[in-house]
Amino acid sequence: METMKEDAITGRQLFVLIFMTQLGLEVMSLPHVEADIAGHDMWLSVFLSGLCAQAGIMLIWWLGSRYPSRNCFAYVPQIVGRPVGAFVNLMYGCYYAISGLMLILNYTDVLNRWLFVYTPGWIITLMIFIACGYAASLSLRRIAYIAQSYLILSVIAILLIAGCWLYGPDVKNLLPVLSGGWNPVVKGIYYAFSGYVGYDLLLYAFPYVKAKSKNRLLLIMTFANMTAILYYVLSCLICSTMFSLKQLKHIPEPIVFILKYYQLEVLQSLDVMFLIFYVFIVSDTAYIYFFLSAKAFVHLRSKGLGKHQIWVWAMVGLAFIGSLFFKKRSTIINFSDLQDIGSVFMIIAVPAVLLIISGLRGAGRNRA
Amino acid sequence: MKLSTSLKETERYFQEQFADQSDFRVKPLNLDGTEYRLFYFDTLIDSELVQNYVLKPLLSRPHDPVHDVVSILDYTETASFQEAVHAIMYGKTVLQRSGEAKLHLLGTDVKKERSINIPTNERVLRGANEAFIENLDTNLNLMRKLINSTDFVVKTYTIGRLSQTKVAMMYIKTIADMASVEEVDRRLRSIDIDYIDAPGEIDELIKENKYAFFPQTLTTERPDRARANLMEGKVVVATAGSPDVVILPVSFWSFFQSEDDYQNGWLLGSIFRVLRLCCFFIAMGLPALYVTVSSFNPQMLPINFVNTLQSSLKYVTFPPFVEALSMMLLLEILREATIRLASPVGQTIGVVGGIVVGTVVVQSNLVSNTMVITAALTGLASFVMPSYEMSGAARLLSYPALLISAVFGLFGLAFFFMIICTHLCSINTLGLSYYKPPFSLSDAKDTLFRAPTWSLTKRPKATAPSNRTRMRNPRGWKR
Amino acid sequence: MKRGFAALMMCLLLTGCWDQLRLKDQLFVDIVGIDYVGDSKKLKVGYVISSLREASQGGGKPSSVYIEQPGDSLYASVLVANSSIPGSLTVQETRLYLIGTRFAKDEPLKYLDSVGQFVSNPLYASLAVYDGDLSQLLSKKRIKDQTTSDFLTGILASERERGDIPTNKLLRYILGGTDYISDFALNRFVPDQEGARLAGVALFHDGKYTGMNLDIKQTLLSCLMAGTPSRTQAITRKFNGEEYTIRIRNSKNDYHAIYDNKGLREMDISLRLDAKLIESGPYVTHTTSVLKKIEKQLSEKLTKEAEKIIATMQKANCDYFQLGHELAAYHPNLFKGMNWSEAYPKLTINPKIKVTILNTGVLD
Repeated sequence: METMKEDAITGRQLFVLIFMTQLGLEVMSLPHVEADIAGHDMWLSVFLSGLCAQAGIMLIWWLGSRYPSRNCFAYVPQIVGRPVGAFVNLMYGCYYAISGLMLILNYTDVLNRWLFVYTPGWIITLMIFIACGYAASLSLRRIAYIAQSYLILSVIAILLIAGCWLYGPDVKNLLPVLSGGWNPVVKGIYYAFSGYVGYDLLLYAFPYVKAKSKNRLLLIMTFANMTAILYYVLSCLICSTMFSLKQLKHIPEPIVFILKYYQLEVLQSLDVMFLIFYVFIVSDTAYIYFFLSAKAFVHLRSKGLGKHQIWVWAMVGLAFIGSLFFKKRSTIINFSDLQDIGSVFMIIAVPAVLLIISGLRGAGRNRA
Repeated sequence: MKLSTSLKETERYFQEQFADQSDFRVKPLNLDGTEYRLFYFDTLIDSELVQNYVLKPLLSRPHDPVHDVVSILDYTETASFQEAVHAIMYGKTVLQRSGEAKLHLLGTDVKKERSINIPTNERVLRGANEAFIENLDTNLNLMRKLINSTDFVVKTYTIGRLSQTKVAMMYIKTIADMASVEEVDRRLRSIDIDYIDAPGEIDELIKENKYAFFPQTLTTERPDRARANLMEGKVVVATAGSPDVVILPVSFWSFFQSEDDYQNGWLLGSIFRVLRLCCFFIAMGLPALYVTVSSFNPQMLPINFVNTLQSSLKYVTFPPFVEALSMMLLLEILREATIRLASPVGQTIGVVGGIVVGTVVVQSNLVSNTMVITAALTGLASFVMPSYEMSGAARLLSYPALLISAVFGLFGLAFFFMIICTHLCSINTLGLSYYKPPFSLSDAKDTLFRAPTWSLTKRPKATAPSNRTRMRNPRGWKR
Repeated sequence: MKRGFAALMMCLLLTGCWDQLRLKDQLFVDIVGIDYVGDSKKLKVGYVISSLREASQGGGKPSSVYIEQPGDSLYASVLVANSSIPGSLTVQETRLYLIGTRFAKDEPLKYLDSVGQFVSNPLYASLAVYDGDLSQLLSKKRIKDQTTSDFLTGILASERERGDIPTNKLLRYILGGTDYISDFALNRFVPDQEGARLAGVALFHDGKYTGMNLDIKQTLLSCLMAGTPSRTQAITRKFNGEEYTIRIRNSKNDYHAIYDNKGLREMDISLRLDAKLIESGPYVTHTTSVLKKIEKQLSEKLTKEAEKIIATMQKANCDYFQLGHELAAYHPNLFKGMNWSEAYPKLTINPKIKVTILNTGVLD
């Protein structure tokens, strides 16, 4: 099977793909969002949220290991029957397209506020959409190559953030731990969860990974998730030690502000560089979303419906047209909140239900 | 038409075939009562050879069988006119004895070739100093001498309906991936063209992605480089009439490897390798970066730097974009002029271009100081790459990079690199990935840097060699 | 061909649109000076614009231009100022925000918050107080053969490098401030015969200048007590009629709260200084006992000075050491019951400075 060969990825590539998909704009905005909710215990919320994501990974892994030779969109109709399966795939397709759209819109919004004040947002959006569409139309293996190439940027990003510690962090900002009790921390878990969305790539990628065993695959996923947790927790810790809570509440992207501290002999204001090369990390996540979206649509029919490339460009085109309707920042934020609820539903609730049904059916079949 | 025993018939046939060819000759001989005819092209044969090794023996023993008499190694007999016509075109002499219904084809073609020279386009400090020449046989000879193994296979093809150019494919059968070899074989066979101009046309006709920006075959004039690539399981295609051979399938990283890397120590080699990679980025992106910093984000530079930059731009009329574009074009013009100009004049171009244009342009406030530095650095960086094709690609790509970053600043540049990276990832050569990020140590060993020879025990995966073991214990003396 | 040409033309036309700026026309504001106009509440904002002249052929002369513009807010002033000079003012490279004392005593941070709104504004700029006529200082072309901006920022940079003064980056103070309690100390310039000089720090309470200052010697000591890492700070003190100088090699500060069930009793500030003795009056062989004596006397002297510093701070009600934050972080229950800004001036604070002489330099 041709796609099988083209989509085959190694364990390392899976690690990079999952990690890069999990990284998103949240690195910039999470400290701000969490400042309102969990206060200076945000790192705890973010950490616990990562553990929840780990539970989600286990769920998807369990589901995937029941059908080790096919991807999720292919076996869904088998679990719940053809019409419902097609509906589930349709839902996934729309969900991923919307996720990609929201991510790009949010990033464009950041750029428009920080750097490109006069450049029309739609042009920036269009450019990112073009780049994403081009990348998403490739095979999974090639997408993994791209992610691997961009990985270095995420490493540079975290080094830049961590380097701010040279400018005098105040550990006292973190103390006392749990001053407001567990309540705000638990509440913060939900808001931090959006940062970990992306591990659901496993739904599709499961059969294509050339891992030695199922358990090894789970290990790789855990490793990727842990790296993402580390990334987020570190950025939250740095933000809350470098800024007061009041400042964090004022500044929507504290990381950008933090980088303004830098003043080297020949280079300063690294926030500009950071904001710009964050496009690599954002687009990496976005094109994986579009890739998944197109794959979901292709699997609407068991024989395959249309070509992958055409679906990618169709979804990118639709998403771009959709992006033109978002003018105000508050609309984007409200819609993103909705999308966050949607993502919890799509990557935790739906796989859980699928797992239960498949378990019941499996049990039934065994008895019969 | 069938060959007859009559010499007259044969002569008429050849006269028809070569009707308007004024250098076609027919020489009738009557030696001791036996009639002979010689057919040949005056301009193609070595008359001395014919004189000494054909005519002289014939004169002494005119009645003995021809192949016993004629002392020429390249001797064949044929009964087909078609074959004889081809042979004459290749510079053979065709001999017929009356009463025999066969033609004797004698290899008497004159060997006009230049001697083996030192490489002119791919210089190295240490390493062999011979380059391929236009004669395919000599080139094959060079390769055979470098690899004295029965595993080294040479297959020849004739491509070009009119030119009938000989093309040779070389590979090492125990190393190369047979699927790739067969694919190259299939593609070479299917070329249907009037004549072939190697290496450019070979490259364009057999590569997968027609619209790719990057070279997908490596062209070299160095036998040692060809050998090194053969040993990695690649296929080398040589063409008669071209002093360059084409190597495929190659990965992106091969374009940054130079023979020197393996001659100087591995540490030095690695540093130069990394330097070349950096230069690739400089050649593509430096003018664009200059434009973005000077017209979008000066805040990235400290105030002293910005003030200097500002003051050097103060009286320059053009915006940085036009400045950069004109300097880059100037660089291209200089480069083109130095290639085309007759070599004695070429020397002066350096002076004219480098000094006069450089200084005067700045003094007359047409272009700023900083831009001249940027342009010079870009130009130099682009020529650091060992492959002219890759350096051309880098320079070509610097224009779109410049354009897009003049409009969108750093974001444009980032977008550009995103597209380039995706493009690189999408390219296929012979079913293999052209660009693979060196993610594991074994991938990075001979790509990003040049690992010590003793650690390169496996052949690189990029060309999917069928046998990956290169050495077992190269330092076996050290137990 | 036609299409390519059209694309090129479009790009040429597009350049100069949107976010592109012309570097030639940028006026890089190096120092922003803010004070009130006379007795009113109107802002008087001064801009020192730095540039380099005649550098297109190498070399060049640094020069600066000063313009001043009153306005109700920073933005209002900038907008008007832009029309008074060709080019456009930009704060992309601003290195120093200098505020007048009268402005500092009111609500300086309220106005400065809007600096955070300036797009692409590097917030590494320092914030300092000038106790004198701001326009007179900033309108000076050169001070000691340097441009005013190079002079003022240069002093701050080199002193900061030595670790003698607080860092005072603007980013720390605006938008709510990094510190738990909005009490801080800003570097303070005073007029000097030729221009200005650094004269210690101005103490702020709740974001407002209290009018009290520490002198330059006290500043260094308070910096060390606040935890500035040791760089090349040197302390010179005179006792027994002789000058003694030490260079700090290592310093460690510690805060300690002493409390019982009635509440906080006192706070201790301990500072351990490991130093190199580089000057000690007339030359004597430094035996262990001699060194011990110097150590002891120096420690006593510095402790006494620290007491004075703390007294001044308490009088100004400026919790520069962020003792309140210390308490809130490590003893949250204790802190909750207190009204810190009322309790702080009355709190017993015991400084304890201990000098250890590691060596006596190249000489014995």
